[in-house]
Amino acid sequence: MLEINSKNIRFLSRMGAQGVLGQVVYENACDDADFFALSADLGIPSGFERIMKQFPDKFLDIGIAEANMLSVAAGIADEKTPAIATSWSPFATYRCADQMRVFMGCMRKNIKVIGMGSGLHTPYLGSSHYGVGDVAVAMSIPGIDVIAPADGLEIYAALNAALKNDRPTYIRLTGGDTLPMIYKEDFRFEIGKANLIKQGSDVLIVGCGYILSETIKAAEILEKNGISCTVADMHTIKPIDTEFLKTASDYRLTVTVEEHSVFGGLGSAVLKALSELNIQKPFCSLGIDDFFPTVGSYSYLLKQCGLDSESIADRIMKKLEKINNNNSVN
Amino acid sequence: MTDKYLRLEGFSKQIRGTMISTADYCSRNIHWGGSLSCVEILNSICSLLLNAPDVNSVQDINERLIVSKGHAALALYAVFYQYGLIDDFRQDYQKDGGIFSEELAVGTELGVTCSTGSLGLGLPYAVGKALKTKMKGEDKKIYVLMGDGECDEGSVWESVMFAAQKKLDNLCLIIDRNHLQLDGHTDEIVALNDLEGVFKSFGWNAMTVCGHSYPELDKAFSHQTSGRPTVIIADTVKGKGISFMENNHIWHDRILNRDLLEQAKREVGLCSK
Repeated sequence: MLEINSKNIRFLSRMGAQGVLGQVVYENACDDADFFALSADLGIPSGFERIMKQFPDKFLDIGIAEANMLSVAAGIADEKTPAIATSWSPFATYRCADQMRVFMGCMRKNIKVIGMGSGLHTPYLGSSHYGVGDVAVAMSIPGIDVIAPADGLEIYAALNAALKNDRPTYIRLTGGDTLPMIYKEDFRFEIGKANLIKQGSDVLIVGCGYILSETIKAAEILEKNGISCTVADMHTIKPIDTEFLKTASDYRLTVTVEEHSVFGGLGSAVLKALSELNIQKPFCSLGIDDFFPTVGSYSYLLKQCGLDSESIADRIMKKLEKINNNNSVN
Repeated sequence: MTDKYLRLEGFSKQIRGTMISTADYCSRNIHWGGSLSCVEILNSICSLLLNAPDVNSVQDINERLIVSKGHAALALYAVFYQYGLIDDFRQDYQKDGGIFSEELAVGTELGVTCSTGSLGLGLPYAVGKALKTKMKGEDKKIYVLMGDGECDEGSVWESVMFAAQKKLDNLCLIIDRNHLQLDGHTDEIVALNDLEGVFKSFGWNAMTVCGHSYPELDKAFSHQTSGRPTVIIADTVKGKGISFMENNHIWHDRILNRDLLEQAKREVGLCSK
């Protein structure tokens, strides 16, 4: 395991999401950890070149056959031996939904499915590769952990944490060749426990994944407009940190921000938790609305979806205005 | 060689030139290998289709052609441009809000009927189209271009069996057999072995040709068997036409840097910009 220091934090951010994945798998192989990695003809993009060369007995390239990959992984995995299976996020989830349902849901196989390039992180490939609903697929399968880490350090920690337990897990990777640096040396990671990024008093913003960095920028814009924000990283979408969400009652508004469909992802999970906690406060979920984004650069796609920092801030301010108007009418 | 084939050969070079010079406008990753391998196949199909009196536009072609290997989109755009069916697309390739994405996407402007890139979807879709065409009593052939790596997908074999069951002799599948996929050689990942024999055993009319030879492709396209779907296994070279890309899987999807771009341009007969 890498020591958490500023040099390694920079190193992990420069590696990109898949680079960090490759690093974790390589380190585990060097430590002779019990695991098996599989990919569907995406060994190189998964960052697996070093294990493919140096630890060929730890890796299986299944070919372009994602559903077969998941089934083979199920045959290999057991409590002590996690099977890591990688593909681009829509193929890792939608195409393998039944395999995930049976092997990971019903049979509780120790498989860690890694959905790569999720959200809008394959921008130029177009809609066939966008990961807009992968979390929803994974969320619908009973009993699997769903984790969406936000920066290089958190991807590193999330993957290592998942490899240490025997739970079926979906890990959603977002980010291009470089990653934001959100966390510093005091970083702690525990599956199921949200991280507080910044404390404020008016609005609670809950995010996860790469888009958390845009959310932090949005919070800065809001601060300049006199709106004090708490920003939290809900890296584990399932099981969600209900204890943390109890604090939502302290704010005028709770907002979720996700690079995913507004259906079935972080927003849905937080809203459900708030309703179970009986917190009847204004809520708004920002994500990809009910459409398929069209091709372009990542920043273009974010604007198209209203998920760039300025749009996020703007949408939150409009929601607050509405709440104020309603209150004055009442 | 007849004038027809000389003309098509000339087009090959120009199409590759169009593709390579797209890198003047787009310095990002491009799927070079699998686009360059199927230039002759797509050119043959388009030339063949355009000979029919009722085929005059990209919409007409796309009604009859499904490019299941969506990452070969650049080759299809370049072929369409070669025939004057679309304007110069190079500046708009991968552009914000444009229609020329790296993988093929459905849209009215280009008339693409099937979004591809999620592999293993194009053949079953084409089977449905061919079936409907038959049911409507139309005399229309459906062509589908698929990669050899794509044959790894289980959905391919589900539709291979179903197409034979339904005796879809109006379906013509072309496999771009370039022997490479993203991670390496197909033999080292999932070997396809006797692909022609496998198709035959499933009741298909199957043949293997050189996928860069216009006469061979032409002959294969004219070879129909009543009551059976046809597969043409087109033996090709991944990255064909650019020496450093040929048979090298790292050029599956890669940035073409300045120096190599100049070399590639020289190899396809383009002067430096």
